[in-house]
Amino acid sequence: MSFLEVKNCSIAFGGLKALNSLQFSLEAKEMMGIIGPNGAGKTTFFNLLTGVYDPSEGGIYFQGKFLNPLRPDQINHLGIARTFQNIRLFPELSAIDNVRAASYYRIQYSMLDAVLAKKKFRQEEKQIYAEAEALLEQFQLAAFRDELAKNLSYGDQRRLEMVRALATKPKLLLLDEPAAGMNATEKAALIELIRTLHRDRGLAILLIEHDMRVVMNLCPRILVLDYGIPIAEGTPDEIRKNPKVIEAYLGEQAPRDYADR
Amino acid sequence: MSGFSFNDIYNAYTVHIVVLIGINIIMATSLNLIIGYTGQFNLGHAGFMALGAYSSAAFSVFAGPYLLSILGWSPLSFAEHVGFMAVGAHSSAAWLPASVAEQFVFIIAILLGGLAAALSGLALGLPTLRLRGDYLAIATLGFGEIIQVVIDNTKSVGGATGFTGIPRYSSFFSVYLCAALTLWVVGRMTRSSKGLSFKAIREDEIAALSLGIWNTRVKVTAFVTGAFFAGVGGALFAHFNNYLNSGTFNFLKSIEYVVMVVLGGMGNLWGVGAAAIFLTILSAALRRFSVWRTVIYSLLIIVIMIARSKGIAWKFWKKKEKGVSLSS
Repeated sequence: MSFLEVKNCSIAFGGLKALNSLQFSLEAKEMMGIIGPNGAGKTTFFNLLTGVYDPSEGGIYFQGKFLNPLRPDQINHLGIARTFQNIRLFPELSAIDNVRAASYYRIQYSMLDAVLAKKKFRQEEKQIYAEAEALLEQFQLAAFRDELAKNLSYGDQRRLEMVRALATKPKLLLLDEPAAGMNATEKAALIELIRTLHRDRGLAILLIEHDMRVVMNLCPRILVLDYGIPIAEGTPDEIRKNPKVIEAYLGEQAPRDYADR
Repeated sequence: MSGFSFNDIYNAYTVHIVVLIGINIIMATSLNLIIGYTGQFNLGHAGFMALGAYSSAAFSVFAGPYLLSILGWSPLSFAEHVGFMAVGAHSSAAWLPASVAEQFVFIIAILLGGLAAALSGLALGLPTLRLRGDYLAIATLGFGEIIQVVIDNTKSVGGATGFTGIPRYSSFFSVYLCAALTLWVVGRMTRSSKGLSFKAIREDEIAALSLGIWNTRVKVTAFVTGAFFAGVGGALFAHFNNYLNSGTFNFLKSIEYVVMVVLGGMGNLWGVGAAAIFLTILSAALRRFSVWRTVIYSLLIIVIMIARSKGIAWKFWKKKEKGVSLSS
C-alpha cells in the first residue's frame, strides 16, 4: 500500500472532462512535480485530493484511507495541507494570526479553558506562539509578524501561505504554483527553501508549477497532464525528451499557444 | 417639573439610560461574535433577545413566587413588592440589587433565558448556516418574525397585549456584571488560537477548511454563544421593564444592533462596546427632537460611516502602521 494512491480518477464539469482516468501513486517523503498547459486539470486534481470536489469516478487513498467521502477539514486532519494558486490568506489577520489559526485541530484545550484562562490554555497558547514564530523565522517572515497579511508583498504572501499550511503539521504538502509572481532571485531562494523543507521535515510534496526551471530543479519525478489526461511520467530528463510532452507543452505549440492567450 | 425634585428625575431617567446602555453592550457584543467575528449575517438577533426575555419572565412570574416562598420570602411581601414596583417609585432602589432570595430566582431566570435562546440558536443554526451572505440574512430575518408571531399567539405570556407584572430584579450591578461577563467571554474566545477560527471563517471559508477548521462547527458555536448572551440581555431587559411587548423585538431592533456592530467595527470588541454606549446615548439625547430624531440619527450614522468606514473605534485601538508599507 503506498502513501498516496490515486486510482482511475475522473471528474467532469458539465460536458467538460477536467480529469480523465488519472492514476499514479506517491511514496512517503517523495517529491513529485505536476506540470501541464493551462487548463490541464492540475489545480482540479488538488481540489479533488483536498475534498473540495468529489471525483465522479475512481478514488483516492491516503495511507490506506479512502478520501472521497471526507470533508476538506477531515482530509487535512489526516495530514494533507495545501496552498492555493490564487493566494487565500486571511487578509485582515496578522501574519502570526494566520499561522496560529492553522493550529485549530491540534489544540487540546476547549473554548471554556480559554475563557477561564486555565493553565492548560496558557501553556498550550505559549507553545502555539513559539511554534508559529519559529516557522515565520525559518521563512524570513519574522519581521512581518504583526503585519496584516494583505499588506505583505506577493512573494511574502506566497511564503506565508506555505507557513500556514505547514503549521497544520502535514505529511503531504500540496503546493499550487508557489513560484508564481516571483522574480528570479526569489525563485532561487524558494527552490532552496522547498528543498530544505523536504529534506528536514520528511514531507512528501506535490508541486504544481509553470516555471520549468523550478520543477526540473526540484522534482526527481514529474507527471505531465494535458486536457485532463496524464500523458507522461518520469524523471526530468525523460520528460524533456518525451515527444508527447514536447508536442503538448514545449514543442510545436504555436496554435495552442495562441489559443491559450 | 415643579412637582418633582431634581433627584427623582435624575435617578429615574439616568438609571434607565445607564441600564439600557449595559443591556445594549451585551446585545451588540453577542451580535459582534456572530456578524463581526464570524461574518454570519444575522438579522434575527432581537428574536434571540425576545426568547430570553419571555422565557425568563415566564419563569419568574409563574415559578418565582413558589421558589421565593420555599426560600422563606412570604408571598404577601412578594405581592407588595410587585405592587410597589408597578407604582414606579423604585428608581433609587434600582441602583442596588434586591434581596438575596430574589437574586437567586433572577439568576435561574437569566440562565434559563440564555439557554432558551441558545437552543433556538442551535435549532436555527444547524439547518441555515450552509446558507451564505444574503440568504442567511433572509433566513434569520424570518426567524425573528416567527418568534414575534409565536409570542403574539401565546396567551399565557400575554399575547399581543403584552406580558405584565414581571418583577424588577435587574439592577445596575447585575446588568453591568453580565455586560462585563459577555465582553470577557467573547474577548477571551476570539483572542485564543482556537477562537481565531471565527475570523478565519469570516475571511476565507475554503482556506479555513483546508487548514482543518470545520466551518459548520465554528459557525454553530458562534451562533449558540451569541444567542445565549442575547438571551441573557433579554432576561435583564424583561426584569428591568416590568412589562414586555413582542413589538419591542421587531426587525428594527435587530437592525439597531447591526448598526452598533458595523459602527463599532466588525470584530472589534471595545469598538462595538463603545458604539453601543454612544448610540444609546445619542438615541436618548435626540429624543427632544421628536419627529426629527430618526432623521438626525440616520444622518449621523451615514456621516460616521463615510468618515470611518471601518468603525469609529478602529483607529484608537489599532497600533500605528509601522515600518515601510509593502504594497499600496
